[in-house]
Amino acid sequence: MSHQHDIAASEPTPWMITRMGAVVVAEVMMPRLFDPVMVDRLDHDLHAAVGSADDLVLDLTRVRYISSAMLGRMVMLWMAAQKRGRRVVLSGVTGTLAEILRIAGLHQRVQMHRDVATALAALETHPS
Amino acid sequence: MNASVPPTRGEEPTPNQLAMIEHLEIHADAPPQRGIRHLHLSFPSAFVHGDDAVTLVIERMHSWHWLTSEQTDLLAHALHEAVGNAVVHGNRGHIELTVELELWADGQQWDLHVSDQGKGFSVREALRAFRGRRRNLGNGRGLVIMAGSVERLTFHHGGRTVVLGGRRSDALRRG
Repeated sequence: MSHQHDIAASEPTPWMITRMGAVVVAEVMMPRLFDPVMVDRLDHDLHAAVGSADDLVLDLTRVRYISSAMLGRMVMLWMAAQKRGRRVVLSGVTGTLAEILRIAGLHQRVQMHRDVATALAALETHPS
Repeated sequence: MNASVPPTRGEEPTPNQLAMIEHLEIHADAPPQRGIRHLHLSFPSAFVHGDDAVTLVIERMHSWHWLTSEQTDLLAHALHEAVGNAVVHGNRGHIELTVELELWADGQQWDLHVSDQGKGFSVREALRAFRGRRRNLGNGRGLVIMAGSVERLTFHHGGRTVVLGGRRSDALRRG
């Protein structure tokens, strides 16, 4: 799409951050989010993305495993976005990953959508 | 995050999560040895080695039909948390210190022992981490994930060894 452009295209990372109008979509392409170094890098990029757009969709469709450390980073990201009057929502959370987020209590805080399109539609329907 | 949820200072633990932590069993003695030991891995305190060890153990247990697919994924999360805790909080990332991972099982149930060489922890310390600001960095949430992902969770050696336990799915099928 012509209104998209890669924000972090210069650095090869297992995630892709794309701006779609006023929303940033971060698609994580690694199935395991356990490595602390990768968690730190992703966290850094996501915070940078939230600072540069209205809202963020974090797409976890391809993620099968996630660490509690990454869940903690997601909570901090959500809090940082809230302070700026912005939103962070998740998409593609299914199966065991959804169960882990439920066990960790994130389902009570973080909006989750079936896929990126549904998340974008929800953000558009309820602008911040 | 939901439109109906007002902004908060931070994420508060739920009563269920607090109860999980409050009821952690931390014993001073060694864990009981169930049946025979099927696997014993010893590896340096580094994430890459822990990741390999978890993958190997989970794949073996799955190939032996001890786990359903759903149990496999949940146990992988729990075991990663246990090994991560051993590396980061137990051995504090000192690569010269080892983490031991053992799989014990009888005909009905399995136990995974994960041991580090740290100083252990108490329920009070776990609650403090869970309620504090560091929780948003992940502290305490890993314990909740472990407790919610396996049938049995106990700590031994004053917290230096965690035992994750469950029932073999092949035993369930045998009835």
